[in-house]
Amino acid sequence: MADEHSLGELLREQGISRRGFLKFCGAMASLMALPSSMVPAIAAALEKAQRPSVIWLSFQECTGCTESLTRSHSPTLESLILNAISLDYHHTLQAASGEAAEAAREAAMKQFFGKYLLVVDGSIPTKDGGVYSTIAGISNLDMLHEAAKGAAAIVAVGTCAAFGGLPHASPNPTGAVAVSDIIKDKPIINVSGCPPIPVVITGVLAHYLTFGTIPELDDLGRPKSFYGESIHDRCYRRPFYDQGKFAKTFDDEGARNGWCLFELGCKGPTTFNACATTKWNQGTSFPIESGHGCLGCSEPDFWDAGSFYQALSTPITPVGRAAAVAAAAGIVGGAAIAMHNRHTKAAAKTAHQTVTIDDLEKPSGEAK
Amino acid sequence: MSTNAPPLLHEIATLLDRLARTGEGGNVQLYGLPLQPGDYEALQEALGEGEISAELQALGPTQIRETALYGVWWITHRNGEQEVVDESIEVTRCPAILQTPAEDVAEAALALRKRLSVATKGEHDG
Repeated sequence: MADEHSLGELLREQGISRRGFLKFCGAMASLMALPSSMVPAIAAALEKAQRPSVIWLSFQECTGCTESLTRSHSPTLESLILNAISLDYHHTLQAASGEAAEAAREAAMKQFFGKYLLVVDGSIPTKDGGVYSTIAGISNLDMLHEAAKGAAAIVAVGTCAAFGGLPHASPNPTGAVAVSDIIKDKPIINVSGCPPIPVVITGVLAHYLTFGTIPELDDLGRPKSFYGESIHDRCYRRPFYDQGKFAKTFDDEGARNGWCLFELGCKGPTTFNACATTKWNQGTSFPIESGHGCLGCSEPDFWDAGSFYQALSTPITPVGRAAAVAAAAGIVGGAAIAMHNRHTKAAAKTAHQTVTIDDLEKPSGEAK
Repeated sequence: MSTNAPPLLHEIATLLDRLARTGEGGNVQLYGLPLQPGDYEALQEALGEGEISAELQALGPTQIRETALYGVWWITHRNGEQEVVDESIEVTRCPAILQTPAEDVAEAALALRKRLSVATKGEHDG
């Protein structure tokens, strides 16, 4: 249960010095993409911050989002942030089960009514009265309605909760929808990704702890500090795109030279996420660095947006000329192409193309 | 030279000018920058090794090194697993993380007086 201890007191009780706290705040600042001049303000706010109660509901999901968050070992920023909140209900992580677990959820909802942070992962099935996913005999739909009433804000973690995700993919047999399709009267922060980057989840929690408000959001309800730029614009292979150097297959000279994977279906230009800079697996790499194009997993309907291995679009102008224009215009050129590609993706979605193993073996031009 | 290192070096030069002129420096956050292979090494080579190197042990090790360019510090924060959690180049006369927090100074004075009073009491009792 949440208590009266401030975060600063809690950290010092754990033997963390003021220099350690400053280090923690500096890392938080870069995590939230804030200038280092804000570190003293962050330190002052976090020093006094109270532990908020967090209720985490897992609906129609694969537990990948929770795995993402917990796949880190202490002492990490993630574990410190998790210690800084009072996680009052999470049916995968909590020790209690059955009636005791549900009683903990109900008690937290009552005690912290209007103040708790509600985290949801997984989509919500709505077909046939929401019968396709239930917890303790309560449909996900009913539980979300009930828990949302007393929430200060809702964090939709993962593409399923944010946009419907895989359960929502055609033909969507369970009528799966996103949190924002159901709840209309609460602030909702979409932390999309399949799964989201762990530090992005904790970065949002850190922002809430620091400022007591929700961060600035983009047009899809995602925090701009993490989803403000496309994978393409932050990709270390971007200069090759600008030079018109593309890998044509996964084993050609271009692939070996680390050239741009655009023609192999990389969705980096239409995907907004922090993978290219924050990276995965303790900062080891991200998909493009490992030689595979971005799947676009943090975008709505990524599963129905055409083959993962088909290029987003053919540039209107020849590649060389388009590259020259993009190089001259820099990020603006990239953004314009991204806008164009978003339209192309929407068109692909309506056609709903499927991927077969043959797609992987064909040159990109022949892929269906 | 690599693609992304030269603009960063220009930014550092501008911050050095400002530090010399106004006493206010600034920093370049390396963590999160889309550096290409070779950029990081090019930056290290251009800045070189200076006279001071310190290590802070708090939530994992932090390396604080002044580069061969006076006033330019390379700071690498790691967690307990040795993973880099933050990395920056600070342009300052002394990084804030090296300076002792005022509250710690006050607490140190109290702690020392407490030890002295215990020692004095021990002498009297003895």
